Amino acid sequence: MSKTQRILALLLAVVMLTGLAACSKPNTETGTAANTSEEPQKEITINFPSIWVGKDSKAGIMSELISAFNQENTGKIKVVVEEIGDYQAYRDKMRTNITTGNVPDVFTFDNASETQLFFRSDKLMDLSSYLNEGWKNDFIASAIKDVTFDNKIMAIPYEFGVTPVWYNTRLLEKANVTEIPKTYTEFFDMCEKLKAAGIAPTSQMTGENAWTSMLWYSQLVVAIGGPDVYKNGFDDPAFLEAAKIMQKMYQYTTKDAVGATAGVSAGHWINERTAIFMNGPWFVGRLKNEGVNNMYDVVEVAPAPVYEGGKGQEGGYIGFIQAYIGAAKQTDKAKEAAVVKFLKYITSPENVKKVSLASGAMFVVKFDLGSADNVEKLQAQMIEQSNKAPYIVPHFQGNVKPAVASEFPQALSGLILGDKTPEKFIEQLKRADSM
Amino acid sequence: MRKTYKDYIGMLVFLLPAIVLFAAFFLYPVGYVVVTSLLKWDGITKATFVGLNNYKLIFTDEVFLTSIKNNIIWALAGGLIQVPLALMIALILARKPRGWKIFRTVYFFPNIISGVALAMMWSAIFNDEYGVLNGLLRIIGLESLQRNWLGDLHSAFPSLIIYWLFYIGYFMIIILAEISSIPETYYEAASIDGASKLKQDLFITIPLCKGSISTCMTLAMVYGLRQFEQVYMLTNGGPANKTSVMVLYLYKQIQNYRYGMANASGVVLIIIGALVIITIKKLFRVEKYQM
Amino acid sequence: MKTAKNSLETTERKDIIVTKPKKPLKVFISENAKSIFKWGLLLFFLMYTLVPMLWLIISSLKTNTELMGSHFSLPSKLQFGNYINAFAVSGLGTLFLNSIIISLAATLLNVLVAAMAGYVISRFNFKLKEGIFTMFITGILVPINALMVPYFTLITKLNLYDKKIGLILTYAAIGIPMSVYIIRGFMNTIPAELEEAAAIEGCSFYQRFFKIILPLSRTGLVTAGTFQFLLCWNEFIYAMLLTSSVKSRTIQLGVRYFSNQFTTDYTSMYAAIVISIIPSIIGYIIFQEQIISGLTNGAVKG
Repeated sequence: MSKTQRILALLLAVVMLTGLAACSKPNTETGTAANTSEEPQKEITINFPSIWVGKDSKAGIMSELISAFNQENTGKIKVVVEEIGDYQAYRDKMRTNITTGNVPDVFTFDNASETQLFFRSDKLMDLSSYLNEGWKNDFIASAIKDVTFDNKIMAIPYEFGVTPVWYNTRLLEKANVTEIPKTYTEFFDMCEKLKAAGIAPTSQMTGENAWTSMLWYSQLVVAIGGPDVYKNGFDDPAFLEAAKIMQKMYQYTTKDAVGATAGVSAGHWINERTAIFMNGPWFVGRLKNEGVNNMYDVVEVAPAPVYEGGKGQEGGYIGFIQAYIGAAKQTDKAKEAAVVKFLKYITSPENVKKVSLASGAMFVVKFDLGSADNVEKLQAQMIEQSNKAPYIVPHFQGNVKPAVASEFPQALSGLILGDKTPEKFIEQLKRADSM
Repeated sequence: MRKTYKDYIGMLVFLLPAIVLFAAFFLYPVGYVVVTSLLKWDGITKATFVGLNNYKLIFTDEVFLTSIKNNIIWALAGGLIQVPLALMIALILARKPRGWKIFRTVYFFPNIISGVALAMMWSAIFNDEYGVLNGLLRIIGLESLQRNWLGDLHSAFPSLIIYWLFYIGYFMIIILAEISSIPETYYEAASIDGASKLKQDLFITIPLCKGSISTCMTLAMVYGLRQFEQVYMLTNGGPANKTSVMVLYLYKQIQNYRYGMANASGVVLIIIGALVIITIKKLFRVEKYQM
Repeated sequence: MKTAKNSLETTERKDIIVTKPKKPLKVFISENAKSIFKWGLLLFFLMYTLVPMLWLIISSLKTNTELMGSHFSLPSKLQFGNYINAFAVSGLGTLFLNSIIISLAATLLNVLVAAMAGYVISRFNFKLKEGIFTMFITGILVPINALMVPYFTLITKLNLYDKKIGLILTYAAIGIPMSVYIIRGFMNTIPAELEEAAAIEGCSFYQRFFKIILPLSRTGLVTAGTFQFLLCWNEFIYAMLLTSSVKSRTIQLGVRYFSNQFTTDYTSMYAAIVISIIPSIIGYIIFQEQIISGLTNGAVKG
């Protein structure tokens, strides 16, 4: 017995030692993993960590499209999807991948300020030549401008989101409100009526990334300061003014708004505990499935109100690219061609249309809708309103550094609880910006 | 006893695996953390050496200072409240009251449930609209105490710690295990001398399980200093950064592409932790049997 | 022990015999204060620890709308569909099996390695001893979240990315400081005479470890092992970071399957959590018996 145990212990030590040895000779074996496609006949594998999996509204159609692509290219190209549903985990992993130089062949990211960083990494594929061959005509021109860096196009703009105001008209009627408010004065009158009728007017939240409240703040900043407000930085008085309006907004929400998460604030709305909500087209599916008392039938979407005396215009929209597709720089030309082929495939107007109709999502790829196409009611309203909008400005989070975006919920909760004055609120954001 | 040549070989063989694993997964990464804490680096573009500037930045950041304070409070509450509570329950269960096995088993359950579920439930309990805690206060006529527990400047952090303190199962088990190994004869002698149960606990049991108490205290304080998941899930540091803790601060800096500051706060955490552990080790010098 | 039991019996008798004139409540409380306090305490903690389990199970049988509607009500109709959803997660069986393999292997490796190191540190005197021990325990406080970049680099360099052994090694290593700390503490309490006697009888270094020290520090091994197993079973960040396919991923990724960028299907997620904790509970009950049998051997120590 003792002998075998001694051998076991020794064996273990040997295993550990070989582990160490492998550790100390780094670059010999690892390089090969990345370049497995050197032999010409071999099937090219494209790895694609994807968030469009699991319960995501695009999961089903994406998986169909990718299987179809793999079938078409059997023996030549194979796209292997790595499923990462959890969004925070996805971001952690992509960031780590890029930092360590293991950029996935195809991946997605969402933030405009991240875009800048990734472009400067020198690890992304330069897609300019391919896009300039005419491919870029499939996209809305302004979206292409967003991803052009030093005259190079380094990523593909893809999914688009707009976030209008969602009104539950049944609750509005209960408070004798029949008109959707056009101005913030009317809006707060409405809130007052709702409150008097015992209905909490809006869903707000400062938990997580303060999503819904961050969108309201974005609406206010643009309504007050106009579409170019971000160019002036936080010194623009619109940011301060909007903070003051946010304080007022929080008088018309649920008691648990400070600290509430997206689950809580959305939960209030779909259970008819609040009348007004703000979110994007992806929420339609949930509204349909989970909204109480057939709530879906009584919901209307509308642009946010106009701020009297502000530089914003009626019908202005908050809209942003929420998924860019990036690709790793490839040394192997054949693989580069394969990646481009796949990218062209998932961004083709025909396929994007399929994804859009199946999921309710919006895209910066242009496609024609025929009368036969069954467009979802609220989605159609959002498309119409955004087409009419005098301007579409990205949300606050997309216009500022990641550090400012992550400080926003803390600054906002401090503002609402009276820990910070509106001036201090702005200072806090500036500090996060400068560090 | 004198060590033989073979003993030396044995010692080396036995230490080696742990040292190799430790070197690969701690020394190298910590070296990396220390080095990058001296850089201004976004993780993507070129880094620049900035010396101790990141340390200056975090130590002038109110949020980081709050985080340190919160961690220290958490660690002390763990060591001085949670562990004594666990000890008390262990002493009760050691006398094998009716159903003690059930208690012992059930008390451990929260450690098995994933932290996600625990956090979701407590955020619902603390909620101001439909939370159970406010409901209870209403029933017993203490409406004035009702509040948005996790969204209030004053109650958020205490709520976060207090609910946690009552999960004592893990420590209770460790202490109970050691109590059960105390020979019965000690107590028999004490009973003959007429010592009360309380006295027996104070003068026999507690001194004899000093080892496991100190283990638990270390673990509880380490938990306090390393706390992340519950805070991340329940408050994400809010409101107004009042519930921030060091690891959360660090994680947010990584998400903000500020590896330098993130890793500087990591180094600070390691140093504070080492100080705490060494202090406890000194306080609870257990008698050692050595060859 | 006896008094505790007696006082319990007396309380019960009082409840049963109603014909006797009742003592005033005050007197009853003061006579049984200790016992009331004790049972109050035990029951409070019982509730406190049981409620989350019950809540989780009840919530896992609701619809999402019900859950958001009222977090503490009973479901109007039991939604077993959530469990069907959870079982439908692609490769749940594989994820489950992987979790068991990875957690067990990492725990065994970790406890063995830590026990070996703990033995040397606890039982022998040598020059670097304090230094090595201090180095190990300082590792307890290393914030693992900060190590994503170095761990990813290490694992890809070792060619262990997306391999179970990669996670096994990582988990076993992450737990080393804690396990060494716990196990050494327990080994310190074993009297030296036992080992000395064995050495005189001719037991080698290895025999003394495997035959004497290891069995006697079983409580410590189990304590560390439980801790380590739960760490492996519940770990998420590295399970995601260091793998890319179902063949090496763990059950925690199955649990997060229901959380996406914009929506989370909480009730199905809870069903998945319930499924995922069953092995832990079974494992715990087994380990618990281990502790007890380890303790009955306590006589050897005396």
